[in-house]
Amino acid sequence: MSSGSPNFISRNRGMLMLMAPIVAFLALFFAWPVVLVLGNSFGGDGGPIGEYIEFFTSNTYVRIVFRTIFVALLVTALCLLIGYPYAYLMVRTKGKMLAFLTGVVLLSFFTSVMVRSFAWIVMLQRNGIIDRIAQWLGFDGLVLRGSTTGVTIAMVQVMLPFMIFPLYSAMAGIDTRLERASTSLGATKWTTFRDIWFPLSMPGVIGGSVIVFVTSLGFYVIPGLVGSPSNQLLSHLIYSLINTVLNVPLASAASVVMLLIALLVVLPTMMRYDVTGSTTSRFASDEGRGGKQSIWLWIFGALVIALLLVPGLVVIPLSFPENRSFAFPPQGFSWQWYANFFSSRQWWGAFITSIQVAVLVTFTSTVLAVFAGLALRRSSTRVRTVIRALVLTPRIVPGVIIALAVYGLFLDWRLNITITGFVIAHTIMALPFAFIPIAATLEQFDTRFEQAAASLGASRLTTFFQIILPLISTGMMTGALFAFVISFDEVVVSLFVGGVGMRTLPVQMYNSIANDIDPTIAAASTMLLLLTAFIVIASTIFTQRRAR
Amino acid sequence: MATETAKGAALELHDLGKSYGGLKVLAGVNLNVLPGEFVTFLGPSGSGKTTTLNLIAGFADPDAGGRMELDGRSLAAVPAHKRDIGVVFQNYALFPHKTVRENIAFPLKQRRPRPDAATIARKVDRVLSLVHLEAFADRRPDQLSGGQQQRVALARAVVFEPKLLLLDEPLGALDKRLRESLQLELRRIHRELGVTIIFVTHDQDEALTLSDRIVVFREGAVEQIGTPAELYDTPGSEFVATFLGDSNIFAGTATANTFTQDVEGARFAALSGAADGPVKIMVRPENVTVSADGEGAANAVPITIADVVYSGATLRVEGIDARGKQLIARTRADGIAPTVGAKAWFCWEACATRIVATGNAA
Repeated sequence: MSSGSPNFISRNRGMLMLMAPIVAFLALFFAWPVVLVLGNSFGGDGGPIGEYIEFFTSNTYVRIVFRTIFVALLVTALCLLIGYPYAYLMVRTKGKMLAFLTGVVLLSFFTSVMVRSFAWIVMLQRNGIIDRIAQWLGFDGLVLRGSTTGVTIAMVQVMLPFMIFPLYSAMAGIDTRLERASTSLGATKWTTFRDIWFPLSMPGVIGGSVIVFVTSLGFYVIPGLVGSPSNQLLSHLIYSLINTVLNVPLASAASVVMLLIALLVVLPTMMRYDVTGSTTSRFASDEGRGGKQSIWLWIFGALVIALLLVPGLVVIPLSFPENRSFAFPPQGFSWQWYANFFSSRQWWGAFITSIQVAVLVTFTSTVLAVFAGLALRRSSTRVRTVIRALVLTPRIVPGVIIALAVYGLFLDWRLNITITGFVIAHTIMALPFAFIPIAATLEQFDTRFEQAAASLGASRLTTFFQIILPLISTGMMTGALFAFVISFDEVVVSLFVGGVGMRTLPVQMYNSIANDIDPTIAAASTMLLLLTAFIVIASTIFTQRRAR
Repeated sequence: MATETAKGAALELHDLGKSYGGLKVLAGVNLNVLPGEFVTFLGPSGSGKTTTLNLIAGFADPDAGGRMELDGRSLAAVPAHKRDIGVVFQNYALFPHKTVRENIAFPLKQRRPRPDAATIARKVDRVLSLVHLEAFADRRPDQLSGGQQQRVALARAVVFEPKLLLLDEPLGALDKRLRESLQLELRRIHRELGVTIIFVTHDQDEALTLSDRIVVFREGAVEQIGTPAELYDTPGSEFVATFLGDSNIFAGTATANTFTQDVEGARFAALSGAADGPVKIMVRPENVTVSADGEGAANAVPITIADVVYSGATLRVEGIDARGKQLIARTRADGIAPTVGAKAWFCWEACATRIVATGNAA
């Protein structure tokens, strides 16, 4: 069967029509600008490969590349070491305990990256919490802000949920009877783990590692705020080449180098594992297994919970000081920074912009994802793989590259510093997250329901609204929630696309941290934290009720 | 509700075909179903019976050609939701988010013009009583047993009074006792509604019990069409003979109306109607008697008794002939029980022999 024959088009007309919007969107706003970046990298003054020669003959640049790869590998390895036992513990629990362990990870996942970055700065800086504790213990003090160690610690904490979810998802899919079978055949606990459990959890290990590696590779916020110019990483180099040096061809070449590193890791693993599919699809499932676990595993679990939650909590006391300072412990008490948030044009305006953008992004990406999900159901296995890969690609392209690409395109189209620009850029980032839960629910959905509805006289439209939509509503809500959070939290693309007149809240927070000492950010962080906690706890209780 | 045969539709299939990705899964199906008839599609899995059903329902396109007519009206341009054909699915496909009542009311709400609420309620109540589920109207499908879900699916498929009802292995997921009671219920509902029914199954007993006529499918084509008695008594092929009931098959040669097999001592009656050449004949086990000497029988094959199984009214006797082939006789259990290992003869009357294959097919 050749999928290029004209017959293919007539046979799959419905599927192709459903795919058209998302394909057009991604081709125009994602693939095309990335191609333009590629073109720019060959279009410098020094001939086609002049930029690459300049890049690779510079000791500084080459050192930055190696440092970036090293940090990304280190973060990935640490996330795996910390995340694996925790995911294992999750799979071993059920009911309320599982809901709690999952809730903690979700809470951390949904807590704004800006809030967590801010918390890490406060903890790692001179006279910060860690420094004070070290002094109190009798050391000279410990300032990690500006060091690669500090950047790595903060990145591990931010990336951990991205590792735990795929690990849990893969482990939850392992049939418990296999373990019993292994034990009954005479294997020890350790042999069973090594020969049965670990190999079967491999898709999660690979999936989580790829996502963490690629995201770390292009991570901008934490290296930018926690790191220092002396230990710069590639993402920052790209940004400063554009904004400070205004050397677009060289920035493009640097982006292409980063993209190649990412692809070098992603493509070989994609051939063997369904890397992108397992990211978040099954985090809410309730299939725990119970059983008694070692006390050491529980202690380890408690430490991971502390790591996930505590950095968020330190921002709360910092929102009430009397003076303009981040000193710890804070002096005095006042509500002035909350008042400032609501009265300042910068803060309140940024908040409103963020809400507007996020609502629109939620709508567009959910609709596009539902279309793509419906198309998925109507296609053969091979076409399905193509659709999946297409929609999920933005997930495996480092954020700073998308930012650069979209920024370049929007310069021509005058979409920078507009709501439309923000919505388009964020939708690219949000689509994979909205698509995964929606596609998962749609795939489980039995074709017989549609056939039954048709045989009972319902038109396609009636079937969609009365049968399909109610049955996929949970998956759609999850997808919509993810889309909202991704958009509301997005920093790096917004830094490029936004400008003085129009900023999103995370960008306002970024600038605030980078440029001045203003406890308003602590007030904003505290409110975001409470909002996130409320949403996560409410949805956990909701799914718990549903499961019963 | 009295019997009204006019309530059923006639269905004609002409040269119906279907292919998946270049692979022909159905080739040239021809069938005339009479109004009010109960027709069963029987065959092993992958034989094309469900594919044919999907084509009739409009869930798939007959891309390998052919025509379908319902009461003389072509179905080619009619989409599935406008065919007015009721379908009961293998796993019921009840909408999980709707109650029993809402599931059954669903097809009525799709009619145009849409019936008023009172009419809908009345019709739903009527089919609920038809399937004896009045007490379960407000439950959701997951609160019902398999048999109850099955009856809701049936009620939902008949409530809009379709003239043709398709059932795709509807009893497949149920245990034996429940199957039998639902088979009886299905017969009753067929009688009461007078609707034309096409029933897909791979269970030969179900097919024999329920059908006016059976269509036997094999490898994407119709092997034979007939009443249960016709198919059982005069199977047109070895496949039909072995698929429906137990059978003893003998492969041999026909020459001038005599059947010969190179088995020592075997004796066969004259065979009329077979051309000279290779031929296969068949006899049903219940027509075979076990005899100590084989004297006086038209057909007699010497065997060694391999097993004797007592099953109530009959004895099932397994014999091995001189070629090592297993043969079966089913006899009344009132005589002297043959002993395992003993030499005996399997005998039958000349009129019990059937020719099931000749020439290349044999």
